[in-house]
Parts: sequence; structure tokens; C-alpha cells
Amino acid sequence: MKIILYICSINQLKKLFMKKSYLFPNYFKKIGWAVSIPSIIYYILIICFDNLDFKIKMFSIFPSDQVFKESSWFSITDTTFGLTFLPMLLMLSLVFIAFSREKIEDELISKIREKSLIWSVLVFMSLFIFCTLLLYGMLYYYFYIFNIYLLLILMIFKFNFEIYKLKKSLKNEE
Amino acid sequence: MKNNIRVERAIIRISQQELADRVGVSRQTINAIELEKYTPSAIVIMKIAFIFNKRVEEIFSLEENDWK
Repeated sequence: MKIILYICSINQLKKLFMKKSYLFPNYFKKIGWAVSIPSIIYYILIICFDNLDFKIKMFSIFPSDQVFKESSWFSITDTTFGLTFLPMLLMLSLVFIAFSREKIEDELISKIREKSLIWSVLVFMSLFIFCTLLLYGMLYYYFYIFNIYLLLILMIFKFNFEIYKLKKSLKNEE
Repeated sequence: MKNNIRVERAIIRISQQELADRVGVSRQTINAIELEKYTPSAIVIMKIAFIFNKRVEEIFSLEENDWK
């Protein structure tokens, strides 16, 4: 609760929007990892065991999937945690991981981040075209769900791999 | 782009970390510049030249590949 209040404080918002960089502060990366790992585990468990998901009621603009009930605009609808909050939490956490500042954020890191983003978009599009042409049925459905997060996952992987390579090639000073 | 930052550092006896702190970048960046794996921005180039009290062209030089 304190963290939410701190984040929402007016001064912090001003700093965030006045900065030239749109990156989140470094501590958002830890928040991202802390939320994404349990979310991914829970996602896999829901796919394997349907009864682990629980029903909730949510406000809907138009619940179009109700078969036996009359649908009306701006009403409460039945849904599940796995269809609402879980995807949102996972997406937010991946965004936090991908777009948080490094401890030392300089031009080289920015360049690596930019290259990682371009690479991930190109690989994402290639995989999307490949799978759309060659996968069908339930396999394509699962790929389509996974596809929502694929771009961010690719970018996180590429960025961290490049940083690892950079640190590995660091020579000791004379 | 070639450079002789390592030589200049040895002349004024500063480490990569010290140079990085003065320029405002990470030690990894200085190392990447020295190994010619990364071409820095104009601001970083000018800062390095200022710290070594030399002209930019005395530290950095263009190669044939840079013209392509």
C-alpha cells in the first residue's frame, strides 16, 4: 500500500513525465520479476488444471459471450481471474522488466536496448507468420495466447543476453 | 573508429572506472570504446578529449570502414 502511495505521489509523477527517458526506475525490475514468475506458474497450472481458476464478477462494457442471458451495455458479467487480472499482471510485470532502467544507464545500454527491441520485433513477426501458416487448431490457440507476451519475452531475453556478453568481454584494467 | 584511450589513460594514470566516473558512463562503456566495439556519441568523445586535455583528432581517428 505504501509503495502504491509513493508511486502515485505527485512529485514522483512529475519526475517520471519530465524525464527524457520513459524508462521505469531500476527497482521496478525487481517488482516485475516478483510478479511475473508466480503469474507464469499460475498460468501454466490453470491451463493444466481448469479447477484452479476462480470465478469473479467484473464490470463490462458489453458482455458479448453470454449465451443464455440477455446482454446489455455497461453491466456486471461473470468471468475468471485467469481471463482478467492474471493476463494484466503478467503483461505489466513483463513491461516493468523490459523497460526499467539499469543501475548505470548510459548510452551503450540504451543502444543495446534499442537493438534488442528491433531484433525482438523482427523475430516476433517471423514467428507469427511461420506459426500462422503452419499451426492449426488448439495448438494455434495456445500459441495465440502466448503470442501476447512473446514480444516482451524476446526483448527481455535478447537484452539480458547482450548485457551478459558485454560483462563477459570486460577486460581487467591494467 | 580507432582510438588510443588506453595510452592516454596510462599517461595520466587513471583507471577505466575513474575515466567512466568523470565522463558519466559505465566502466563497460569505456572498455567497449577502448576495444573499438562501440562508437561513442559526440558528447562522450568531447568529454574524453577534455579530460585528457587533447584535441578529439589526437585521440580518435576514422577508418576506411567509417566512410561506407
